[in-house]
Amino acid sequence: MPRMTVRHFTEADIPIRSELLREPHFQANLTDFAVSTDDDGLTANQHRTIHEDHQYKRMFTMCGPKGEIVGFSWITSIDWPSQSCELSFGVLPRFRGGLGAEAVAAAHDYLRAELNMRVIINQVFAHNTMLQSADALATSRQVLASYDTFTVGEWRSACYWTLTEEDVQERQRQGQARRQELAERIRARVQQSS
Amino acid sequence: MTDSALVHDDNRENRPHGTRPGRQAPLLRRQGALPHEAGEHGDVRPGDAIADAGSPIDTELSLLDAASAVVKLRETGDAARGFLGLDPVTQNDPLLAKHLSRMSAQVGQAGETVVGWAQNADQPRQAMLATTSDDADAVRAMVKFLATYQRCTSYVAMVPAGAEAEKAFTGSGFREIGVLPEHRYAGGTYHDVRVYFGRTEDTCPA
Repeated sequence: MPRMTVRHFTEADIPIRSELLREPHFQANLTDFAVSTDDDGLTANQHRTIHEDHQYKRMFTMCGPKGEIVGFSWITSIDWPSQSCELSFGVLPRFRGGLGAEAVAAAHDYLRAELNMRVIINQVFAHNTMLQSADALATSRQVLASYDTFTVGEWRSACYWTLTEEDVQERQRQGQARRQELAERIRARVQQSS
Repeated sequence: MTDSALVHDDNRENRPHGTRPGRQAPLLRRQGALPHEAGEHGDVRPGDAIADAGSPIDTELSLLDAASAVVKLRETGDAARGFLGLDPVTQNDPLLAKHLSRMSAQVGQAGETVVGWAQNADQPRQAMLATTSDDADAVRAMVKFLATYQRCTSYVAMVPAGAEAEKAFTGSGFREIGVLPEHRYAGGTYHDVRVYFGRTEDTCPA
């Protein structure tokens, strides 16, 4: 059974996501529009996403092994003919640093396997190391856009990169190779000590 | 009174212009389905026999409102993928409801099975059908309802290849008339969709 699952964002999830929208790290790392939006406005905004905006925006709830809500992901700028979209994440504070990488993988899998997206555009502010280390961001990025967005009183630089099917397969291959190498090192140490 | 039994009319092209199936050749009917009519069209053509000819339709059909329909489809899981072209995996509940509304579709429940139909707006005697199980009786109940209350005379179903629903349609007298290659995408690959067709008697005077 997968540790992370993706399901459709529902009305019942709105209060939890609204709280996340008001969280300081989220506002610095993604968008601070919630500061200037009242509760009704936040609810209406998300309600519209659920009911009306399907053609260019979809929102999902990321759940952990027991179905608990870990965070949310959403795709915007959906271009169905081009099979491309931009993917964003918001992880609840208590799950940060834990299931983040798996959440990213689960969202990518869903977008490719079910929505038939072929090119996924990632945007992460350069200061945001919540899901990826600064080194990983520097390696991944194809573009570094200065003065990309103004959040919480500061201009933020943003890393942009696209992931194609081949990119994902290559990353999976590299990850598999790293795990294999680690397992072999551990096995060798165990044999030496016994 | 219309029987819902599907009739096969492979010689449709050879009929004189303006004539109707069901008024020319003896119709296949499911004897026993409507006992008071038994014997009226007792002549069953060889090769037209449907799997359960002779057994009554005892599956009751109940209609679902849009909200209940969406809940049922989501509960059904993988068997609801491709139902009238819908997909609960890629579409959230409001989007499912929106598509059902756009098609003027009606969803119903026959036993444990969710069935649904949308009448062809350009040819109201024809309906597009869907079902979520291999239960042929559920399809028969739906066809009977449409023949009786919507005066439908022909039925089309587009079923994902390999789905349990294929057995429901073949088991209720539908025949496969074609394949739409790579017509849908799911689970990371393209899948064929098979097209099934069936008829019931046209009761309209020639």
